[in-house]
Amino acid sequence: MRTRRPGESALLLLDVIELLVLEETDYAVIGALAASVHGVVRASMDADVVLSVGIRAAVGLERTFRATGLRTVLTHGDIADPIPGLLRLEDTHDNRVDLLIGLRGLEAAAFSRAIEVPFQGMSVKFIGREDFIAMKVFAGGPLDLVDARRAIAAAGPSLDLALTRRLARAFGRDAADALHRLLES
Amino acid sequence: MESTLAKDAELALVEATQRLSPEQRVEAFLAHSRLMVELYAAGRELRAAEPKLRP
Repeated sequence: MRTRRPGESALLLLDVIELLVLEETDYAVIGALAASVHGVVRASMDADVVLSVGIRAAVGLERTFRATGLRTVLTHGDIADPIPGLLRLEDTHDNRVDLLIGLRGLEAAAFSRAIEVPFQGMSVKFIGREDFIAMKVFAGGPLDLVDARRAIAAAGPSLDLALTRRLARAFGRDAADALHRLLES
Repeated sequence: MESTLAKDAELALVEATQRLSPEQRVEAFLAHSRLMVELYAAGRELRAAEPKLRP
């Protein structure tokens, strides 16, 4: 384990990624860590990751992570929940990594668009910028919209607007409208 | 009402962040998160000590 104290969820993430790679499970880092890559650095108590697997595979993953000594909780979303499942992993310092077991509306191709960023001697896959913005406008909370706005500002003219709009539409009308408002502001 | 000053400050923050490499930004996330936890712990200790300071 790389963690030595609280506030090191980013280091716990590296341990988690090593296991995901061993299990041949595709992943992409999202949340505040991805916001730090695509927009502005902001702290968070946890690290968020979206996986390309379904609930059945998540049950096996939970067993694997529990065997390493991490605390694990696997919860299932109801039929209306855009997140089918969530596997929460915590170490003894209360560092936390949340693994989203898929996300309805997220294209499978998002995993191939992920970008690799070196961190502490490892290569970590982060959700691509356009996918990140689409996910954030879909989430729609005040901080999510700030993250999306900052990522748009940071991208400047290099942002693939057509792709971002298409990805937001895949999450539904509300996400597409929220993106439109951000782009117009 | 939208503040031009706030908007300019946010753009400056975005520009400053973009001067870092993606790797440096992830390292900054780690440092920021460690500091935030230390600050939170210090505040909690202070709050716990407060009643003892009162007469």
